[in-house]
Order: sequence, then C-alpha cells, then structure tokens
Amino acid sequence: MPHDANRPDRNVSRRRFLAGAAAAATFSIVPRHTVAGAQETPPSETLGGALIGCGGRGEGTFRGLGRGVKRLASCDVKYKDRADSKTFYTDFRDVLERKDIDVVAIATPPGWHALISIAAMEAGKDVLCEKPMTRFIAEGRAVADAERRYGRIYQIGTYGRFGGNRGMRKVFESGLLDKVDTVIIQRGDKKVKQWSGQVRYDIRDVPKNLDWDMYCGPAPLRPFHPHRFGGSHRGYWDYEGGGLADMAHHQLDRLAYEYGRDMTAPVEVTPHAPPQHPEAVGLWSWCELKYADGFTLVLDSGEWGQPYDRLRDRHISEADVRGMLSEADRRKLDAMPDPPPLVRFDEAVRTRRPAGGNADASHRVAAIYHLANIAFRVGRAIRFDPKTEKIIDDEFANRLVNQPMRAPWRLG
Amino acid sequence: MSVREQLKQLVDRMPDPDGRGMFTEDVDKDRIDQAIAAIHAGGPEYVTGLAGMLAEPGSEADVKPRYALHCLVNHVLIIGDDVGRKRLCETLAKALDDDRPQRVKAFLCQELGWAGRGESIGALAKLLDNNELCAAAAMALVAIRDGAAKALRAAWPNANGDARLHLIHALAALAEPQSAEIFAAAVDDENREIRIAAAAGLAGTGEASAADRLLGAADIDHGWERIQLTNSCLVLAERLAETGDTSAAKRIYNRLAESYDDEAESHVRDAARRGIAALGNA
Repeated sequence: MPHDANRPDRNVSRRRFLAGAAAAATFSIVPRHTVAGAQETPPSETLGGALIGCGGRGEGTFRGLGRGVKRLASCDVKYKDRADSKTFYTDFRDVLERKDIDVVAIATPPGWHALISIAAMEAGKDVLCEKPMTRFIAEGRAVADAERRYGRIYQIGTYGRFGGNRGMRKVFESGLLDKVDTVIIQRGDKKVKQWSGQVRYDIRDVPKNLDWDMYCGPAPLRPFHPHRFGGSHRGYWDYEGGGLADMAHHQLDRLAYEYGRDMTAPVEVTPHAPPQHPEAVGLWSWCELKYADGFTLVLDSGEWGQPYDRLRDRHISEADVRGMLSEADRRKLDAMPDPPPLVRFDEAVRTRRPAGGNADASHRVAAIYHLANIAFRVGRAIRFDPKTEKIIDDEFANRLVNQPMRAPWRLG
Repeated sequence: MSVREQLKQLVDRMPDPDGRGMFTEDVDKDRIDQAIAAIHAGGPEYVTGLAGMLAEPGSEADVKPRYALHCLVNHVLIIGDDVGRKRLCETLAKALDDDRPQRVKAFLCQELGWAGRGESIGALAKLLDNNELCAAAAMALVAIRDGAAKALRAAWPNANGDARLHLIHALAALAEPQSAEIFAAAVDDENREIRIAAAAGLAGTGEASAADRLLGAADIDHGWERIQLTNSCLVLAERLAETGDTSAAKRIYNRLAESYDDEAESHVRDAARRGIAALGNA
C-alpha cells in the first residue's frame, strides 16, 4: 500500500514519547490516571494498532495489546470482498508499510506467525503474537534475532509464566545447580484426535472472498479443502503441529520459566507414536525430553497406545531445590538479586523493557513441542544441541528444524 | 501372486480413515511397520509399483499409497539403510520422468526433499522450468542443500515466469558465495520479489563487496521493499562483524545511522547505532 502523504504522521510524537518515557522511567513513572481520568487514556498515549488474522482468537489477541490502542487496520486473507487498503486488508505487507501503526496483534494460523512477527519488527512495530509462536525451530531463532536487531517488543499470546514461582526461577537461573533428577509428566489435554488432519477429503473450489495462495503462504500451495481452513488448520503440518503445538505453549510456559527451561533446550528426545502422515497430523502416545542437567519432561497424550511408564513423576518444590545446594551456594544465592517481575506487553511498550514472554524465552518453549513433533514425524529418537539449535548426526531430522519456504517467503 | 497383488495386500494394511477422514481409530503401529518393512524388502519394483498407485490427493485411491510411500521413505532413514535410501530415491526420481498428474509429481518432490541427497538433484532440477512444479522442486532442493545450488545456478539463465522467483529464492536460502554474481544482477530485476530475494541472498553470502550494492538498492521510497532491503543491509553487517570484517560492517552501520532520518525509521538508526557500539573500537 502506498503511504498516504496527507495522513498525519502520528508516529513522530509517539516515538519521541516512547523514547522519552524509557529514559524518564528511571526517575519516575506518572500513572495515567493522574494525567487523565482513571478510565481514560490520554490522547498522547494512544497507539495505532493493527490486527492481522481476524478469525478465531483475533479479537482477544487485539485486546491483549492493552488500553489506549486504536485499531487502524484489520487484515485477513478472507477479506477479498471488503479490502479497501484503508481499514481492511488481505496483505499484511500493506499494513506494515503504514507509519501510523505502532503495535500489531497477530492471530493468523501459526504458519504465518514468525514471518509476520519478523516483518512487523523490521517495520518498527511491536508485536503481540498468538501461540504457538512458530511452526518450526529456526523460525523462533529468526524472530528472536529480529527482536534483538530492531529493539522491538515481542510478547507471545500466553501469560502462563506470569504466575510462575520466582524463587524456583532464581535457583535455576543462578547456575549453581548442575544436576537435577526432576521428572515432570504432563498427562492428557493435548487435543490430539481433535486436531488431527484429514487424509481423505474432497478438493473444493476456493471461496471467492479467500486469497488461498496467501493463506498457504510459505507452505506448499495445496488444493483447497475446507478442513485446512479455520480452526482445523491445526491438523496440518503445513500450518501448525496438531493439538500438541496448539496446547503446549500454554502448558509449558510456566514450567519453562520456573525450571529455567527457557534458557536451554532438551538434548535427548524419545518418541512413541505410530508412523506419521506426510501432511496430516496424527496420533502419538508420549514423548520423553531430557535436558543436559537431568531434568526430564514427559508429554503423555493418553489418546493412543499404552500410558508412559518409563519413569515416575518426581516434582520438586522451591524448598527441595534450595536443599540441593550446599550451604555456601545457598548463601551465594541469597546474595543474588531476585528475578525481576515479568513485564506485560503494554508496560513493555511503554517502558521499552523486554516483555516477560519475549521472543528468546518463547522460542525455547516452542522448541520443546517442536522437538517432540519432529521426533514423532521422523519416528526415531533424536539428540539436540541447544547451542547450535541443530539435531546431532541426523541430516534428515534437521530438515524439519529449518524447513524450506515457498517463494517469496523467507526467514532473514 | 503377482507383485502388484502382493503390493496391494501390503498397502491395504495401512489404517482406514475414520468417519472424519482421519487416521485416529485402529491405528496399529506394528501392523504398519511390518507392512512397510515388507515393501522395503521388495526393492525398486515395489517402489515403482507403489508410486504408480498414487492418485489425486485426498481421493480414496490415494490415501493408503500416499501414507505407505511416506512411511517407506522414512523407514529407510529409521533403519539407517543408506544404500536402500539412495536406491529408493533414485526410483522416485525416475518416476518424476513418467506421465503422472502434476500433484502426484509434487508429492514425489516432497518425498525427495524428505530423504533425498545428490542422487535426486538432477531429476528435481529438470522440473525447475515447469511453472506448476518449480515451487515443489525448488523447496526439495533447498531441503537437500548439498549440491543443490549448483543445479539452481545452472537453471537460472534459461528460467522464465514463476520459475525465476522460485530459483532465486532457493539460491538465496542456500546463500552460496558462488551465487553472488546472480544475486548482484537480480537486485535490479523488474520483479520486486526477485529483487528482495536477491538482496537477501547477497546479504547471506557475507561478502563485503555486496555492501554498496545493497545500500544503493535500499535507497528507495518508504515501503515494503525498502524495509526488506534495509534488513538485508543489517544482516550483511552482522555477517561481516561475525567474520571479523569490522570495518566493512561499520561502514554499513554508519551509512544507515546517518541516512535513515525519517522518524518512522528510527528503529533502523537505533539498530545501526547498537551495531556500531557492539563493534566497539574494533
């Protein structure tokens, strides 16, 4: 979309405000209600917002941007019948060109999450993106790179970690604990059958209002059938990763924060599942994910095969984990600062401090369920290097870590 | 019993879709694994037969053969049989030459992208001038990586239509320095997406000589293309910094910090300044 030269460039004052606010925050923070009424957002703090992906969770995700965000643009590939390049769009690139948009809520199918998040940050926008964060591991690293490169705010659309135990986090973050024997088994609630894909279907004509090519985006341009569209997109590897990818970011976010799993990644991943279909997500039984420090996470679907029985649940409390430290290390720990409270998206935008569910942390959470799904798909145990973010000695499994994209879509 | 009949019996042992058209009921892993192992033991004749059973995606006729073929491709990787993998991929690559529906060929490309190596490149490269299949072939070549860029470069001079974008895009994903000349020329292409992909490829090569080319290309009016080309400048600077060419990196950062004076691009200026700061006195 060509930029409208007559449109007031509200960004100028907004960005100056943000920069000033970040500096001023060191000294004082003036609550909004002292400037205006408690329910009223001062005009100077109004942000221009856009929602990209308007179905399903879209409205809720947009509300997650916080108060004081005015919706200037709504973008969805199913808006061919109403796109006017002013308020309604089908192509997110046109939205991101607009200088008056500061924050973007993304609620498309996840095959688009990384690409739009990155593009938004390249365009200088802050991003609130629905979960799951990404479709594959390399996308998460690219989102984190863009967040760092452009100094933008990124927050994943789940706040599980915000209720996490900061005392536990402190121990795991301290680096004082070399080994743990924790085993956490998450049973059920992965919606495996619900979000499976169809292997038998009828090819249909593409609805007139839908830009199907844009919907498929970086994935292969498949023939249209309705089950690939809407919420059931979750059942196709092209767009998501089944119920596991849909649910796990919620369920793992808090765990990853408390146990410091968002600073690393599993190193050994053992799956139990029937052979997977090349396109449709299918059944799985369980996946065991071991970390280098001995921490073990097990995802047990309860929807196929026998229940997981290789290890038993072994949870630890904050007291337990402190008890694993020597007296000297406990003293060192007590002398360390507590982890700072996590910053929500709107506060992060205002203060320019990283959001609690920032891209780097969220990428590590996403890597857990992506590794499980890779192991299911390749049908074998895999070993992962958290530093290089590659699967060790398995060229073919690595092809799922960084998957080719259909032109013109690309990472970086 | 003929090979065809034996194969059909084995393929029939794949699960039946449930009422929703999904594999969510009565999925017996052992039964599937045994049938796939038997197909593998049958050798190229079975593979050719299985490929011949593929039909339009989603159709009743295609459901079991498609699943069985993918399981077979993955089976050779699970058991670590590289001789079997190569033979299987050669057979599938040969099947691309036959008269088959385009969507079936696209599926074969996908499977070669799953398990193929050098043996698959020639057959995939032959599809790069096919506007319907070039996307599938290019994606498979990017997955294979080793040796793929050479075939893509060879196809570039004669590429037309959609194939040009898919080719340059695949070359950019592989980002080999030997492709730099193609990227440098394509930065001036009349197609915006080709220009953007070429710039990304140029940045990915990490060659200092690309800096002026990229900075010049990014010096255009605000819009999607400028955003993308600017990102390529920053990526190149990062690559140069990583490889120790700090003066070239600094030159890019300085240019961005000085010339991006629109308030809407303050994030680019800030990124460049952070880059300069990170370089320190190097």
